[in-house]
Amino acid sequence: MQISRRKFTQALLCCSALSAVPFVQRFITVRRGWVLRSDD
Amino acid sequence: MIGELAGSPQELSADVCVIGAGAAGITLARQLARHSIDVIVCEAGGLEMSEDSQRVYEAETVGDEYFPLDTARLRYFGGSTNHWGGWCRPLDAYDFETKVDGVPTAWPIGKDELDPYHKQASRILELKPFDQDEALKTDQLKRVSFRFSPPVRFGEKFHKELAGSEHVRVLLHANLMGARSTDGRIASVSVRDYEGNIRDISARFFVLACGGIENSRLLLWLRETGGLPFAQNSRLIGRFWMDHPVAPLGDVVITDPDSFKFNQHALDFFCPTSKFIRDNSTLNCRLYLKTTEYGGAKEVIADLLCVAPAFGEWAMRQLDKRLACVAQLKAAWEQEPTFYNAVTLGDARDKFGIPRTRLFWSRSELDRHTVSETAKAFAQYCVDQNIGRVRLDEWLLDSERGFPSIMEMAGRHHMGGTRMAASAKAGVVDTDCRIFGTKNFYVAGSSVFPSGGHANPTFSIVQLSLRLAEHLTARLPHAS
Repeated sequence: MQISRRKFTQALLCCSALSAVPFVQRFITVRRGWVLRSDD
Repeated sequence: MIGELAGSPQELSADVCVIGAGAAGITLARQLARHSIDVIVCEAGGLEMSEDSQRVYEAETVGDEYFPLDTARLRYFGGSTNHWGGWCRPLDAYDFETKVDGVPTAWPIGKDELDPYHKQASRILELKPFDQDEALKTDQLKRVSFRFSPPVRFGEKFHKELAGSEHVRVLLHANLMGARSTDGRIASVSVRDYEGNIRDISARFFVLACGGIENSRLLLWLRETGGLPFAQNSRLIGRFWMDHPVAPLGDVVITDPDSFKFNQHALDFFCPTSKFIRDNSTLNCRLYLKTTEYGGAKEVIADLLCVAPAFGEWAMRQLDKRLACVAQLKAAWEQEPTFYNAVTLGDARDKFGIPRTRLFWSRSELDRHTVSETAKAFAQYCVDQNIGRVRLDEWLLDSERGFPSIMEMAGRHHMGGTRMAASAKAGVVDTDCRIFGTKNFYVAGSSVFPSGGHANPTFSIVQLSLRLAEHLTARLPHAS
């Protein structure tokens, strides 16, 4: 499944370093800098 | 022949006088000599590194932290090829074009102008044929490769050939001091050694090939001393100076090693596609992965365990079975050419009374945008393809943060300052590398690059020198 780069970038930019940020059908999250699938 | 300036005749003349004996100058001299063209090459240093010569490169740097300029380049026969790493790759076709509106990355020539010299440059640099770039399962990134020169040390490799050449005379310790010009032509240049011996050299053509900083400094000096009265738009001399910024970006836990192709140096390379560059308004960028030793890999996966326990435990088991590995993610990328990044003349003077370089260098918001967007695209690619997970350094995720205070800064790839352009309004040299407004004064080397792509510059420098040699040969009727 692909997500748009714009949404991905927005999600990365608005995340804080320590919080999990699920977005776009819970596909990618960023936790402490790690770019993950939400089911990781 | 190769000899000291002090031992040379008082009257010196040649078809072409090349000032500088690095990759650009030596390539040019050898190629001209093949056509029976008489060349004098002025090398400011000797055959070995010396403190006297190297000290001339001491300079002031302003702006972002940058390397001391007397260590970032070498001032003796062979120039900075005496310490280069040998990385080679031609520029991409889209490096010659405008990438972001309003950012002057376009060259007035296309890649097709350099391609005819690709094979010969590869032979000179002793390179195996380049691989084609590899499309990936994304339209955002591609895999690219480099070739590695042994590396060729131009001074060592071509010493014997130049020493025995009946058409080339290399003058050692010959420092450019000034030029005498008339009617748009340089008639002669004056060179001096460290003991005060001076010679004037007359030639039909003169080529400045002293490197990506010194070319600008010497042209600024000639402008100041009246040696360039006819050069047009000389306010651009020294401007639009560039390097390739370099930074570590994070780590990659690779869970599908078959999706990566590490070379003999344990490196794998990824770049944005032209579509990505266009869609995201970035410049070009090279991401490179270097595999980490087992101990370091365990530490990285331990950190992953804290945020993704299930995936992290699985990755650790895969690591122990050698079915996973970890790589450090780094980048070297194209810098925005700006008027403000510039070589200018400082207040201090060198041994010869010539003002030392003052270099202003800073990275722009576009420089930051380029690397952070490309890094995010790579992280997304790893997740999309389920081939690994990327930990990005915090400065890439927070647009409010600047560049990290500890980073490698740049590749010491000195480019720009005498940029090539279609007209004197936009640059210092024309498409033949001739200084606008002059009839017989040329510049060789990466200082003519209007933009630098992400590729290390030596391969393109050699291509451009071969092209310039062809141009000059065509203008010397007796050439064979």
